[in-house]
Amino acid sequence: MISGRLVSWSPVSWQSATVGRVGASSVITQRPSPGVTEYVVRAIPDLSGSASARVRMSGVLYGYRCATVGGSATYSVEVQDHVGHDVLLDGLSSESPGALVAGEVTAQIGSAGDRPVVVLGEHVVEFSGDPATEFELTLIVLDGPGPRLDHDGVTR
Amino acid sequence: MSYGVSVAGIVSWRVVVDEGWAILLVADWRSRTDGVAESCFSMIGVLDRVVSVEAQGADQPTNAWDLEVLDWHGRDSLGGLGANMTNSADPVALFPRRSSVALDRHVEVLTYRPRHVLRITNAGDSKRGVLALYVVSRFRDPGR
Repeated sequence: MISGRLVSWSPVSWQSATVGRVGASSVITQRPSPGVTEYVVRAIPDLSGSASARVRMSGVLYGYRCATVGGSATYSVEVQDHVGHDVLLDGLSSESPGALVAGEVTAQIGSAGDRPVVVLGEHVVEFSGDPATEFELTLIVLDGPGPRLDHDGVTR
Repeated sequence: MSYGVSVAGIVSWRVVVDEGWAILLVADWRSRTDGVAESCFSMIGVLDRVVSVEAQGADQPTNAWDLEVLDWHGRDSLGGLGANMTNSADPVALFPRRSSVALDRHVEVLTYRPRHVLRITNAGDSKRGVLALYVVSRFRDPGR
């Protein structure tokens, strides 16, 4: 049984040196515990204040945390799915730089309460803010449940 | 965003991601002169999320267009969430209520593979859009 409470919320260790140059980004994947994958995206924006990275994910996006260094204006981060929808559900918009921001990603399903959203395939992470801001975004994804089941895809 | 359908009344389906436990289907649609686009398709599992992106400019649907995903009983798997869809440029995500999930995934899905109908209405003459359907074969709620 997968439990969302297995997610570790230990502080982010800032490693912006691994990015190294303006306009660059990097993505690493780590498994802090069974059933949980963390995608860590680091980026240094270009002079326009924007940076992007591509992340391929599969599972249930449970939460995120974003650490920033530098910058003087507000920033925002979007994680766009295949059709450009922000799977963070506007969870990182107009944030103040310098503080660690963390949150859960939940979608309303009515009386049964909220639950995290499914993520599949390649996503584009878009950072925007002051050009002096450096970003480290961690996406916490739980493994997809159950064994593979057959299906017949699409019929016209 | 590419709106790949050029013929009115056509819905073109693509399987973008197939992870076994879940699948991402994308439908490019273009409405007929009467503002309708319909297509039959099959899916196994629970419709977790539908994201809609409408074309802009001359291909932009009229505001308050309607979207339904009908199961083999004729029930709307979106539970009415697709009524009066906006035609704005921003993607819109619909999260169907659990009480109106597409199918009884424990029995009917694997046995009968029932047909679904995607139905778009009131979109205007020859308008376009893209729908992304996230279908989960087996969903185990992560303990919330």
